[in-house]
Amino acid sequence: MKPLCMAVSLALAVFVLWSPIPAVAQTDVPRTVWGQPDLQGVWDFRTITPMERPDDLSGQEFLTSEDASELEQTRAAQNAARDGEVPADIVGNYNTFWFDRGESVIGTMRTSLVTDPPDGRIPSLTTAAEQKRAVEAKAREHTGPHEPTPGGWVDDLGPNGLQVRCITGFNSGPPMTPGGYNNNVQLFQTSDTVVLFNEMNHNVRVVPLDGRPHTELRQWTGDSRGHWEGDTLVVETVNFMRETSFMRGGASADLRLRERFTRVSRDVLLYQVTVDDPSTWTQPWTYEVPMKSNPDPIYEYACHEGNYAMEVILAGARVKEAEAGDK
Amino acid sequence: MDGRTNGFVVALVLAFQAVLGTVVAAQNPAAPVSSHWTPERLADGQPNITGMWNNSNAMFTPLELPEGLAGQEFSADELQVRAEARANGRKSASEWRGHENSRGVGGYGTYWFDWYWETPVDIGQASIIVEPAAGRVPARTANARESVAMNLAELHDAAENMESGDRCISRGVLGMMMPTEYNNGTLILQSPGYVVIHSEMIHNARIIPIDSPHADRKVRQWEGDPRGRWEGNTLIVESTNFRAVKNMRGPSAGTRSRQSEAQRTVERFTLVGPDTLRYSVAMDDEETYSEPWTAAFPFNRDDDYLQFEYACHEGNYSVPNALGGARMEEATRR
Repeated sequence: MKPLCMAVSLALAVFVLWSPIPAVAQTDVPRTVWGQPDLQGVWDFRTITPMERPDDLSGQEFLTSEDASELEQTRAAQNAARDGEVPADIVGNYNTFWFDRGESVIGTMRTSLVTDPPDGRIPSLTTAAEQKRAVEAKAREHTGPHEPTPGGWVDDLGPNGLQVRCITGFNSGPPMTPGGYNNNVQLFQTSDTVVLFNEMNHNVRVVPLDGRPHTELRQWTGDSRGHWEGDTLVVETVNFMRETSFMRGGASADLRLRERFTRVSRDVLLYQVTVDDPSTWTQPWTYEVPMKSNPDPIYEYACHEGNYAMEVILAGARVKEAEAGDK
Repeated sequence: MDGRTNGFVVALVLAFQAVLGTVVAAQNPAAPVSSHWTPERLADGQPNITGMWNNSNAMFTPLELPEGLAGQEFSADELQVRAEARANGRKSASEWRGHENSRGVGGYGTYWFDWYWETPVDIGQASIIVEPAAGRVPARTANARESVAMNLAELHDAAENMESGDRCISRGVLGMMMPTEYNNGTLILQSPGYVVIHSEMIHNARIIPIDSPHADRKVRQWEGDPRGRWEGNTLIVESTNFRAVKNMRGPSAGTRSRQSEAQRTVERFTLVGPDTLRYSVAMDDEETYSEPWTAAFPFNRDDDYLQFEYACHEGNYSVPNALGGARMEEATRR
């Protein structure tokens, strides 16, 4: 078979095997005793598939199985190469042992998590967002990602501030994004409520399904309301307080999220997110992660247990300032 | 219904409540409740205790019975008088003086507290502690006293010595469940095989598997490993596998205590009417307390209560400030 022919066949096979959103109620999906699709359990959203399609895969929506195994082997080799790392390699970071980014690409074989726009890339920033980032970048020139903006304190820890302060985790969102570790969420359902319990930061979102309107309160994790569309749980979130840890503070308080949870098989919960933030991006965009069933329990995440980082970071910044003043 | 009939019904209800109040006061609130009232069942068979619950009514009942009152029974009227006196005492002790530190440096202004706004009520008991019969928390072991004293002396030597709640890690089982100054809303949700208790205080969720064995003893958690089972209409939650915490709040605000690995708590939740959930927690930690003790109080259904998002570290400068202040004090003493 010629390569082009093979790619077309493979894409067709993937398309046939992978019907993204079931239009009608599926009969083989486990159901709760009250008849809703049963989405409960621990779901794992680790993956080595990048959020955006890499340049060298431009125009290619799906990986071939050869591409996938090559990517997975490359990642495994990179991890293995760091086994001999010494502390000097990892100041301000963890050694490989702590990372749990996953070892495989997503089951759909997509080349990016972003599915819309079709080029698999996050849309461009608005002019206002670009200017805001430029101002921040200028203020934080020569400043590490976990350091306060020069002269600043606890509130000025930059794009990673919310995670460093244990306010919101870096991958628990909303919306959830695969990250370095703790890529697990446990779902609980009652007939009129869903609880999304993230391993990261021990964060919990209680989502009413009873049709109550949004409140006007602005919160760090926004204000979520859910409903069923066929066998898909749809959660809409608005009223964010300010930027969140999503995309490292990349979104604004105007963020509107539409998350969709569909149990496409016993072992896969498809998580699809549409991000609409007109203050930040020139158009809405969508990404998806097929989350895998995880039989293991979630441990207790005690964010500030043994956490000396914030004090040490702030003290370090003061030392740097003093040294600069002496020069 | 005309006014006279209306008045008669009110009188009848009041009389009934008075009788009922007396009966309740004479009971051990932690004892199983027998009632003709039967809770509805969820589709999976669990009695339905789902809902938003609030224990702020229990704020007006003291944790401990004053010494000398052990064994004394109180009428509903007497308990109500005591609740009002307690509320008035708190208010007068913390008069607003036009600034946030009206209650002293490090304290909040009165308007932050639920007891400032709510009408005092009695809950049919003279103290939250119901066992031992003296209504008081048993003496701490010598080891626990020494440990707490040592910890207080070194409180601001390092962030790790500070109370686990001040560090925004965990207030423990007691801190989540006991009535306190604010954030008394507790959301209980039941999904098949689990009960989820979402406490407003520090935005905490406890996931309680039903009829499931405890995790390996080596897994030690700040809030232990809770497992639930139903006995009739009572949910019993047994927690073990606690990690040792040298500075954790005790049974009420201001009571410094600790948690040892020996700690075991047994909580009981019983719906005794459509809007009342009886709750008790039996504390057994032989390394900390000289004998086990039990606290009990009701939660009231509060469908209108909205849990705010508790972002413990939002605008929280207290840890670096407290540590910085301590260093400055040390420098001044030199």
